[in-house]
Amino acid sequence: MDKEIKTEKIINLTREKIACQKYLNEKAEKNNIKIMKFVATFFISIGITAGVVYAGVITYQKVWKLPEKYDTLEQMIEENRNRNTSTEITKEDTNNIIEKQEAEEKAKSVMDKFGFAKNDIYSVEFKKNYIESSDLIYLVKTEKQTEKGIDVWIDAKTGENLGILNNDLKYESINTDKIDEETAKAYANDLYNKFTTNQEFKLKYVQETPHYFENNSTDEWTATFCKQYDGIFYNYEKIVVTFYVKDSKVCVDQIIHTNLNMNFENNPIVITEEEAIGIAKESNSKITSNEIASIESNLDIKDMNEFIYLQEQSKGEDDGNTKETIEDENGVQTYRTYSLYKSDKIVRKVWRITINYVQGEIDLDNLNRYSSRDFYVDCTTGEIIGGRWSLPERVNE
Amino acid sequence: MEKTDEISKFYKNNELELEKVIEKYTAYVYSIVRARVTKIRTEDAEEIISDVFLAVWNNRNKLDLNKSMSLYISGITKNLINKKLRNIKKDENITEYDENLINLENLELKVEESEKNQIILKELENMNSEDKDIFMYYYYYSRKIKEIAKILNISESKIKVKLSRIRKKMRQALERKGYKVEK
Repeated sequence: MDKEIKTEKIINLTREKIACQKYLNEKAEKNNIKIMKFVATFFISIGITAGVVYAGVITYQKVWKLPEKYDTLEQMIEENRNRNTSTEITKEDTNNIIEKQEAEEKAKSVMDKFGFAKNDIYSVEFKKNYIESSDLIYLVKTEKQTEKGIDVWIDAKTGENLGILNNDLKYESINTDKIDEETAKAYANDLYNKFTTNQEFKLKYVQETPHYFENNSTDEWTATFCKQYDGIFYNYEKIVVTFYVKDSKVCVDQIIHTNLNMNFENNPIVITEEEAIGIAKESNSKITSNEIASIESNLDIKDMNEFIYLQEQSKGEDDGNTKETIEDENGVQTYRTYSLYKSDKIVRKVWRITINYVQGEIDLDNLNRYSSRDFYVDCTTGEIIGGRWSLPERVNE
Repeated sequence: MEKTDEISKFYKNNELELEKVIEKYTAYVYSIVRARVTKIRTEDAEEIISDVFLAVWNNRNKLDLNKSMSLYISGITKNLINKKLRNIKKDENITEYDENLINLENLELKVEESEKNQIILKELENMNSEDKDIFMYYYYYSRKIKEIAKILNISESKIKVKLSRIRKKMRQALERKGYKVEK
């Protein structure tokens, strides 16, 4: 055969042509579905008045609703005070929990892994509403005083490790070794695996942070592990590992598992990126006539809020925050900003569309320049479920 | 060429093993092309040859499994050369190559010589290797997003975003040439 014609090239070329053909056929099929969509939407619109949005050939119930609002700051404070955060243990609390002995053994086991085996257990206490992520825990301590020794938190229902804290570090002076980010990531993963066998959490990022001790400050590393859904980090539950390296030895400061216990159903991605951008742009046109400099889009998981709704209603004036001027006894004025809106704790998978403006908007009270807005377009229903003034996000890439 | 190259020999689990066909018949198709067109550029020859196999692929469910693959291929090749020659300034030294041709009247030649395919192909050639891999895994190998993410060691969300952007590029390329494409 002529040397010019190579079989491998023919194979690759043919494959590419088949792929291109399939792409064009997919467009044709989508066109058919759009026709079906139109027909279905027509029947839905005449038959159903409830909150139903149509996406593809399946109907999805609308999810967004304006959060409730407290009338005053005092009402908000009062309601939060009265929320059930009692620490009094009832008989019912003691049902279906692990035994104290088991909690102590688990604590000893995790202390041993982190080099705290020589510390004897001083107490094992059953606690209610002690930490945010779990209402019932065993607090295992090696010292009587609150901020001394090693504390271990064990979930009283599941026996899971929820935290290990080295309180003695506050009183020590440490000269840490310098390590690079890749080494820190490796150490962080190692410490994570000692703390828990749960493989659902993935390392999101590590960063070097100064840590302030009683007598000096030193550099520690903080590693944040989050769950992922379809490759998207879920920031409402995380395991944060803080550690340092001294004399080539890795030492843990604390590892804490926090969970905001949000309501997340891992909704499917039905709305395309382009559709989401279109939805955000349309909303933006109701808010501001500011010239758009650029648009970015990312898949994300965000909680529902009132930001974009209020912005649309007020043509960009109202962002849900109440700004107050307060004066102290010396007549010095300061500002405070707070939101009176309640959170429904609903979290959704969204297209986070960031619209960057050529000219930012200035908040004269706070002298902040807001040059970007984030729009959270629900990946399933296409509703805008919230947003915010855009801020840079730390990623692990 | 063997008379016993039955089409059924190129099927496994009712699927055509296209690459086996290409490996066996590329030289054969090229010889037909060279016999019918004495002077042809390598790129044009590659176009014709790959289009022949594309046609075999597109008609894979209609082929008579008891017939000879080489006869099918020679018939398709002859038809394609005739179409291509309208666009190629070559010395048209066309001769009949194979008298024993299968009747191709009922065989739809779905080779998309349309400009649309060429536009998409050109966009594909200009893509970076990662995007091209994603496109090929999705459209040629029909892999799911999850599988592609695993193969390429990229997150699923990144694959989805990239695929969305690839489709947008393709659509824009078609629209620039005057084709209206639904999103």
